[in-house]
Amino acid sequence: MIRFFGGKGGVGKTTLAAAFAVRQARRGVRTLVVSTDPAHSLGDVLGESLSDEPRSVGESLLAAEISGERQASNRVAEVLEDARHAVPREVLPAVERHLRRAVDSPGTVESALLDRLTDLVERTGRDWDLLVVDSAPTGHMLRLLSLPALLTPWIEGLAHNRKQARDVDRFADGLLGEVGPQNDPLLERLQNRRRRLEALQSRLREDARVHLVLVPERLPLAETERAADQLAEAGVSLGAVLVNRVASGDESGVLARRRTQERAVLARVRERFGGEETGVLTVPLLPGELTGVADLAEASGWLQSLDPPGPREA
Amino acid sequence: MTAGGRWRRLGARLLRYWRRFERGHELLLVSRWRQGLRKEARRRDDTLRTLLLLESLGVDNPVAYETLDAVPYLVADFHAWHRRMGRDEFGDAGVCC
Ligand SMILES: Nc1ncnc2c1ncn2[C@@H]1O[C@H](COP(=O)(O)OP(=O)(O)OP(=O)(O)O)[C@@H](O)[C@H]1O
Ligand SMILES: [Mg+2]
Repeated sequence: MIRFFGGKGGVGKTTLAAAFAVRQARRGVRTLVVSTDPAHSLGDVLGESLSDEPRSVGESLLAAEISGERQASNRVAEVLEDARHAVPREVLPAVERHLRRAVDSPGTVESALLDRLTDLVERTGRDWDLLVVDSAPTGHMLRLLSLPALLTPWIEGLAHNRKQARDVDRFADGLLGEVGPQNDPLLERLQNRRRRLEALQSRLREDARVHLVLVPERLPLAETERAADQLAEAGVSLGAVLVNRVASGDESGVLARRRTQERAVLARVRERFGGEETGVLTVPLLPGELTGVADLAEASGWLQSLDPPGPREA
Repeated sequence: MTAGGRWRRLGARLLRYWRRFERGHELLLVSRWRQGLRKEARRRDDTLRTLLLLESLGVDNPVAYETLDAVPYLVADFHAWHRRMGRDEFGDAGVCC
């Protein structure tokens, strides 16, 4: 089970993702909450210092902050280490230069982040049962989710091209009675990467829900509707849309006018997302700091309707 | 633009680049059809090789991360290729040695 929390900057993604994770852990669901936002604040919200590797921050609750940059430099180190045993010594400096250049390519950090997230997705259902992703603002998240679709045809093209070259070579060898190489390690690696992306893609389609978070204002609404369209196109299901920081309704003066605007936005949100499949959940403006596991647990009562079936019910 | 469209466009661009590159390496010109076959195989590999080393040509590769594994093999291939062509050093340290 995988749940993303996405939306515009500052709408409450981290707070709600953390509260949701705390709530599920308290229900006995083994939960990992992970931040993919380059400007991490999950650790601050939980009141714990976090790293790339999930660590326990409470009963049944793990947390981590992952980074595309770190993943990319780890991968370069790995590839370079493998290369030391696989290629002639004199080309190693060139290999290293090419690797460093590749890491500076646009999109590499996002790909690396997705790669790290894939590790965590693969461990979901084994090392923990629920993966909660506090994602970066909407555009970043959409790119993250659409990457497998973007990369798959590329890798297919590469693999196909390479295979054809091998086949023609083998045919020519056959004419000479030579034996061609049976395994192409490069082709194998490219295909492994493709399989990994495809597995991630189908896992996200089958097992993931995206909760779009917004505050009841006009601009966030427009962005939420766009994000919903793009997610649908990427084949990823929406979970309940969360309207956060909704005023209580007993204000007067300026706040009362604001309240009227809020009502209009809420009506539109309900019209668009109120169907049975997704649904809309409103979360009021809450008092307190909303940091630390105890505070979050208290606030998380508002998220009850998001509960997946827990181990105690199942 | 679709990923497929980008792929085709990039492919055409690479081929153009590669043709220009090959003009200086007429050694590859072969007469017998069997050698032609091998050359075809190499040309395909060359296109791929070039694609994966695009960064050194200043062209952004959107799948650079996914193809990191391939880099050592491709540089080694490139190395073997310029040695087959009778050059011990390629002469551009940014590409090979
Ligand atoms: N329902 C709420 N009531 C009151 N304050 C809230 C509520 N939800 C979030 N906040 C506060 O709003 C601020 C922004 O929340 P949060 O950091 O969770 O947003 P975010 O969407 O993760 O932001 P960013 O895009 O910067 O990561 C925080 O100070 C948080 O405590
Ligand atoms: Mg946040």
